[in-house]
Amino acid sequence: MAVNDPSRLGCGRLIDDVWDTADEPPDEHELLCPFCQQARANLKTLADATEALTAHEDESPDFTPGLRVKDLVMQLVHVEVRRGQAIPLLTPELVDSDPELAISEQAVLDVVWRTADAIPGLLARHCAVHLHPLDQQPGLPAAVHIDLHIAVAANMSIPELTGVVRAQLSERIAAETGLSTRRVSITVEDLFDV
Amino acid sequence: MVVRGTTDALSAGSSAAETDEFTVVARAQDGSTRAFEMLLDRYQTPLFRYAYRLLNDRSASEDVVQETFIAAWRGLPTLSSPGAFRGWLYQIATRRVFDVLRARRPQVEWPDEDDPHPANFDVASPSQGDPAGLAVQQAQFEALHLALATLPPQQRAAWTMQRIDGLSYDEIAVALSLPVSTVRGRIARARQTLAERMASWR
Repeated sequence: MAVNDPSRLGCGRLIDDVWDTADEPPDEHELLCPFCQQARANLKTLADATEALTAHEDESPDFTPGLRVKDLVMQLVHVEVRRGQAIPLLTPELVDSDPELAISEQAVLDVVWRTADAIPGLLARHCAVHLHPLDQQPGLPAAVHIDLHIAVAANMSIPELTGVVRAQLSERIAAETGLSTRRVSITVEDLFDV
Repeated sequence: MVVRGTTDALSAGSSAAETDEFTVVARAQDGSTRAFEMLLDRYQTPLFRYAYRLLNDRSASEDVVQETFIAAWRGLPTLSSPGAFRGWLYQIATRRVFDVLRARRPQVEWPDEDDPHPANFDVASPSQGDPAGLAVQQAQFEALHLALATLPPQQRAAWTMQRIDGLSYDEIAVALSLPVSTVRGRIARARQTLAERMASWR
């Protein structure tokens, strides 16, 4: 078993286990086992060298990418930015005519995330904005449906929290964009401890 | 409204959204350039060092980082889950690193990844020679760097991702496009070789 399995020592112990406890005092078996003693000594040397390598990388500027890397990546990201659909701020008087003024879905998402970030006890994740399929009235602010996924702190009341989220999103979206939020669908996809 | 699963503990407060990677990745998937920039800030140095350990070429490593993040931005909408981001990012980087290695030595056959005692393979070696011949005052990391250079590329990549970058076996399996069981074997062999070669420095 141990001869052909590189993950185990000659005594049968997993090298992973020996590695994980290499910084701790040896247990009863390890005190007497020549395989474990040899492995612990070898792994300790390797662990020390690994630590020295990462410390050197942290200290040396040679191991940090140049500023141009981030600059070039972000330049391209801004060129290829995904703004999502254009949402009319006012429903056109004529069906299928182009709106006079529109806002990008991405701009609305920014409002959603910024608003949600100010509410304690939740993390706002995926979000989509849809034009409400039926409730559009010509000449009035476009009606939208917000579909938001969130994670909630385990000590929060989900009904209370989602009520606050709905109210504040409707208010901030109206204040900052003029859009009328008719529906906020919320999916609580995770709970997190605080 | 649906409640699914649990996630790791987070600090409370408005900065929580910026410290929770799942949240940042989800927003970047939805097109947030600010969220993507946070991921870039978080991972560009670890990825650069990962590439540098394998390529030993600063310029080529910067290119790998740049190409990896450009591909990540373009591919983020197709990422299955924000939780898969790190393994996926390392997968993109690893493929580019291996492309560079192949282009660099197209005439050389790769050493056997399953060979328990691989011969010296100096793709990333900063200097040549027997470790015992290095001056005593040279730091341990140089010996480790040299020992790492003797490993087959997949072993080197797998060991580095696990021991230095802190990736899980599952993430490394994604990064290398290998089964987890094979990754465990690669890492075990790499560790065995490294530990034996570093033993002379005790």
